[in-house]
Formats: sequence, structure tokens, C-alpha cells
Amino acid sequence: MHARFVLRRVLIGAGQVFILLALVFGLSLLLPGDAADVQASDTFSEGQRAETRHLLGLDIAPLTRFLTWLGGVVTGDFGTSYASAEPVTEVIGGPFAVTAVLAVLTTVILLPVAGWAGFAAGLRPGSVRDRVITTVSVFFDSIPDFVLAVLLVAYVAIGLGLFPATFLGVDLPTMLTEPGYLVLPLTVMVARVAAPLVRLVRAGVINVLAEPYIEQARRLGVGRTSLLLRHVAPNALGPAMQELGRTGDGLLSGVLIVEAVFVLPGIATTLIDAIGNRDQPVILAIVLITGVVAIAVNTLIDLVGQRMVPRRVQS
Amino acid sequence: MPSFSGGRVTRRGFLLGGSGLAVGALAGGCTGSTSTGGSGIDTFSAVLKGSGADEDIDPGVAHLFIDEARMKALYDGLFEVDDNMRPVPRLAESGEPNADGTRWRITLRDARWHDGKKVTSADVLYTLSRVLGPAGAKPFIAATTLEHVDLSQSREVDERTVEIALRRPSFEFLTALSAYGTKIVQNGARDFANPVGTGPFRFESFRPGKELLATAYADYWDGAPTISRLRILSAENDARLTALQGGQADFADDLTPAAARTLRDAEGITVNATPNSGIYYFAMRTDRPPFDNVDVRRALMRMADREELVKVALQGQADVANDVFGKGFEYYAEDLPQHTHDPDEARYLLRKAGVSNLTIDLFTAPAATGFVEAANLFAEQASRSGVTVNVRVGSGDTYYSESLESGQLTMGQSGPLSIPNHFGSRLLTGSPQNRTGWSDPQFDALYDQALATASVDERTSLYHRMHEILHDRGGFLFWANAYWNSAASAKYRNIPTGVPNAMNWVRFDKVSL
Repeated sequence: MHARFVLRRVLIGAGQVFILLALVFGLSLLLPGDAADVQASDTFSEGQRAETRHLLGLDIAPLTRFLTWLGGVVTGDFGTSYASAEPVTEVIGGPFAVTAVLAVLTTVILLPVAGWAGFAAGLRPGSVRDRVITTVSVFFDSIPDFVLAVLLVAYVAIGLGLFPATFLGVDLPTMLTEPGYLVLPLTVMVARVAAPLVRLVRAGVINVLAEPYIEQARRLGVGRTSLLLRHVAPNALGPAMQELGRTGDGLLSGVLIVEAVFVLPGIATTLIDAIGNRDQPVILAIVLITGVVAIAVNTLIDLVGQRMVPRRVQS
Repeated sequence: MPSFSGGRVTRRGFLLGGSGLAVGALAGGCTGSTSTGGSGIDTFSAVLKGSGADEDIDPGVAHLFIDEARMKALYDGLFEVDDNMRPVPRLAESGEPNADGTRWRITLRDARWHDGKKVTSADVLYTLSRVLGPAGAKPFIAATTLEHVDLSQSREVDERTVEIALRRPSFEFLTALSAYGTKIVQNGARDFANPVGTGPFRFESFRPGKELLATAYADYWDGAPTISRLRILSAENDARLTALQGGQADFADDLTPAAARTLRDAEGITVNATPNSGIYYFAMRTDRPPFDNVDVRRALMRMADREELVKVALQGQADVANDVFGKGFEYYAEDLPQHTHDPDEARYLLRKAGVSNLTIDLFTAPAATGFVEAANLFAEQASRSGVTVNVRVGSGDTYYSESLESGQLTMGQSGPLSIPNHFGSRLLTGSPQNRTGWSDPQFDALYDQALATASVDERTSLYHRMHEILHDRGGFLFWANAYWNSAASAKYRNIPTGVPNAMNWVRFDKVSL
């Protein structure tokens, strides 16, 4: 049953990615102007503007360009950037690595933080501990992430001089070897996604603890640790896992804010630049990869969620 | 013509709204420092407006402001222009025309390339043949500026003297040799990703949209720089402010009026506001109704309240302009009476033109500071004369290309540019950037005559007559000459403060402690 389920999800996923690419390409055509317009220096004559368009291959019909690009992707060729005339893989490789580092570290920090806080709050609803955790999570949930980012830059980076204010001129190795750089961006990223998770875990724990089978297990003398790990956790984390899937989708927009404020050379700013430059090969490649990642993550989380709470069987 | 319009829309800036403002308002000035040792400067970091993957390092095709900063560090032009747009010899020692201005004899300085070779006439001829030859991945910027160069008739006189022939006389040719895309490259050079230049800094590495690293060139003909290592960083508006405040940059170029105001109160930071740096205009299509009627154009010139536009849209960071280009530059017509806001006179002129209930479409975009604000304010000002202006807002990314051919009334901001180049590229029949659709045989004839006139005084009076025509009935409504704000850590001296495109702008080889 699982093999069939996975195959089905892969096929659906491929269809979704294709529709996504076609939509994004169509929408990018609706933007005013094209890459040649963006690149035109204001000394260009009409002949030079036409030449730019021809050199970029923008005089070829859009559908042909799209299908050619898709054909290239199948053979592993993502095309050439209109803006930089470099292979797309070179344009997006570095930024993807940066964003991946940010996303992975966020998740690594997020899971224990949100899990611990949610459990700590849910086990004793109404206690001081619960109220502190709930207040803090509501605070971080209600403050827009760009406000938080700007406040951190203003007070912590510039005011106190504790961490660098921007990533200007910093490459990936430096970012990883000088951990001061990542503190503020990760704070913003985690704060953004942790709050809803904390509240879901807390609610899940409270609900599960009220179930009769927990009472029964207690009466049967199941130890506290075993009770929490074997009986409470799997049932309480189900809804949170679903939320985590949505977090993956939302991560990109969070990354965008963080990248913009801290001048992090990641994929979100690369995408915004590419849209500004009307650089369709780069736009499509980024959409393709993020789309595949988003679908893969969601499928994975569905599978994990199913294992945790097997009663929701896929028909 | 070094006329990139500056102010491409800031994409990340747009996303963040005024967050830079918030940073500035909250944080007091506090600047760290880049490591310095002895009397020299170890590393100097300058941060300029970036443009992502569109940034280039090939001197033939690079056209952004930040590209030009890299070019100034790595290469030299034969000439550059000073703040008044007058040519100054750089890699050339001198440039002398023949009697009719059709041949120019250029003598080169005794300079060396970064690889130790001598700079020769062959380098100059190779550069010209490259930018006038077939395009590579992108068209060459100078192909239009230098299209009157006749390569087949140009020749090497000796190792350091070259004679350039023109297809028609031009006594303004040296300015053309200072334009974007004319930096001299080495004879036979093909690999522009690893540049060998003659400039004050040697190339180390370049990542488009991020960073250029370069080291001082000890044998630079104009003296070795004090800075050992130069970094030119790319960043959007808010980030430039933050980087300077946080001590990650020593110099920040092109600050918004709000950012400049924030930094003015910061300790340890010097803000420079360079006047006559961004020339703001409305462009009326003189070849289309209703602006094909002279009196409608005259009426519009009286509808604009320039003081109010400067105060509101540019936050007072500009001087009022007078419908002719190039205040502060050579050949500017200083004596023309200032056009003022006069709604009644505008009404009278419209009646005279036989126009009633005039409705105009104004196409604008957030392509530079204050555009949309100015458009909306102008609509309000025009309504005082009974004219309806419909403001249509487009995309900032492609605005200059889109507005070139379309619409009745559009907007723009021009970087500093010599007045003859402004006429040549925007106001002649068939000019490549004729935004006002201006075509006047008398005007064209005056231009040709001026270029062929050897005497500076006579040229000045010919240009003056052209200015008079435009001031009376041209298609450009110039309303502001904006300041260019940059800022630097106060511990440095000789920070460049020239107008954009001029020699003393983002040129860091003279910076010292």
C-alpha cells in the first residue's frame, strides 16, 4: 500500500510542478517589459535594443522558449541567465546553499524549542510556566517578522554592536565559521515559525492528557516518561506535524524578509532580483527547485503523520 | 554619454517599506571601523546600489553606476569629465583637434598595465575596434556614443600617439571619449572576467551583485593609492545605511533623503550632499496631441509649482530647475528667466491654444525617489488651471524602456551629462533617446554648427540659442536638480564627492586617513 501511495504522490507532485512552472512562466510574461528592456542602457539606440533582444533570444516565441527550457531541464540543463549570461546553475547554486543552511539550522533549532515549550506548557495548563510560554509565543506570533528583524538590527547589531548588522560581502564558509553572523537571522526565523507550533503542541498535549486511555494507562502503572513518550507524544504531535508542513511552505517568505534585512545572499533575494531583471530561466529554475522541495517535504510529513496516527488511512 | 539614469527601483527596499527609516530613527550613530594600520588603510569598503546578476565587469558593456565604480578602480579612460562636465585628460596626456575638428591627435601618458606592459596606441585602437565591432553577449554601450568614429581612417602615429578620424566634425569629441563603455582595454584582451587594467587597483575577485575585491597597484601613473585593499559591495538602499551604521562599510553611495537625514545626526559619519546630480523632468511628447501645440507645452511649464514639488516629493533635497538641462555644467544658460507657478497664465495659454477641458495621462513608476509623489502632486497642481491629469503607475524595473516610446506625458531622472551630449542623445531628429519626440530642423542645424565650431565662445552662444528654444517651447519640463547623498566614516579624508559620472565620484584611490 505504501509503494502505491508514494508512486501516486510522485505523479501528482510532478503534475503540480508542471502546472506551477507553466503558471509562473505565463505570469512572468504579463509583467511589463522584458529582460532586454531592463538591460537597455539609456544611451541605446533602437537598433541596439533590438540587438539585445535578439542576443537574448527573446525574439523567439514564448511557448517555444518555455518548451526548450523544459526539454533542457530533463537533460539537466537549466539554461542561461538573461541578466548575467552565466549558466543558471551558477547563478542559483550559491544562494540555494545559503538558504538551505538557514532552513536546516532553523528546523534543527525549531523542533526541540517548540516541542519542549509546547510540552512544558501543555502538561500544566494554567501554571505560571504555561502562562509565560504562552505570552512569549503570542508576542512573537503577533510581531511582524520584518519589525523584529529591524529592531534586532537597530538595537542588538548597531546599538550594542553584539553581532554584525548585515552579511555584506560575506561568503558561505565565513558564515559558518563565524557563528555571530547567523544568530540574529536564525532568531527571526525561529521566532516566526515557532509560535504557532508551540501552541499546537500545547493544545495537543492538553487534549491527549484528557483522553480516558491516558487515565487508564496511568492506573495500569505506566511510568511518567514512558507515558509521555509512547502515549502522549505521538498523538499530541500529529496536528503539529501538519503545521510543520505548512511551515516549510512559509519558510520561503520568512527567508525573504530575513535575507532582505540582513543582506543575506540567499535564494529569495535571487528570485526577487530575477523577477526585477525579467530573467525567466532563473525564475523558473528557482520555482522548480523550491516547488519540488515543498512537495517532497509535504509528502514526507504526510507519511510521518500517517505512521504516528495510523487511523487516518489514505483511501 | 555617461548618463545612466541612476535610481533603478530598489526591489528589496520596496518589500521592506521604510524599514531603513526605522533603523535610523531608533539607533544612534555608532560606527565600528575597518581595520587600519600605520598611515595606510588596510581595507576600505564602499557600498553602492547593487543590481544582482545584471552587474558586469566588462568595460565594454557595463552600464550601471556600480559597474562604473569598478571600472574606475580597475581601468582608465582616455578622458574623464570634471564636475562641470569638462573633459580632463587621464590615460591621455592631451587631445588636439585639426582645424576642422575631423581628426584628433591623442597623446598617451607613460603608463603601464597591471601585467607590466606599456600602454600603447595599439591598445586605444583595439578598444575602439572592439566597442564599434560586432557585439558579444550584450551590445557595446559606446557604439552609439562613438558611432562617428571612422576606424579605417584612424591610425597609430607612434607608440604613444594615435590619430582618431571622425566622419563629421566634432569639437566635443573628448567628452565622448569619457563616456561609459570607453575605458581602455589591453590590445588583444578577450578574457574580461579576469581583467588586466591600468587603473589604481588590481583585480582580485568579482561576484556579481555582491563584491569586487581589488588591491592597490603600486605603479599607478597617478600615484599608488593609500588604500591597500578595496572592496566594492552591492546593496539595496536600507542595507547601505545599515552597513555604514554598523561599521561594515566605510563609504555608502546614493542614500535616500531619509537615510541622509538620519546619518546627519550620527557621530563619526560625514554626509555629503552634492548638488546638480539628479535632473528630474516631465517629458511631453511634442509629436502627439495635445503637446504638439506649443501653447499647451508653455501652459504646462507654468502649471508646475517647482518649489512645492521639490519640498514634497524630494523632501527638499534639490534645487528648483528651469526647464533647461545642466545647471552647473559648461554651456548652461544661467540667464534665462525662472519659470514660475502661474495657474492663471496657464489658463490663458490653454485658451489661446483653443483647448478646453484638457485631460492628460501621466505615466510614471517608482523608478527613482519621489516619482510617484511628484506625479500625484503635479496632478493636483494642474487642477488649479482646470486640467485633469490621470496618473498611471507602471513597473519601476522597465520604466525607462517603456516610457521611451509610449504615452503623452512621462517622467524621468537623468544623471549628470554634458550639455552637448544631452542635446545629441535626446533632442535631435533621430536621437536614440528622444523622449519628447522633439524634431526641429533649426535646432538640428544649430547643433551641427556648434559641433563644427572651434571657438568655445561661439559654441557657447550657439548652445545658448538652443537652450532659448527649449526654454520657450521645448518638450522637457525640468523641475529639480537633486542632491546626491553619500556618507563616509569621518576619519577619512579625500572621500570622493563629485557629481555622478564625473571623475571625482566613487574614485577611491585618493582616499586617505
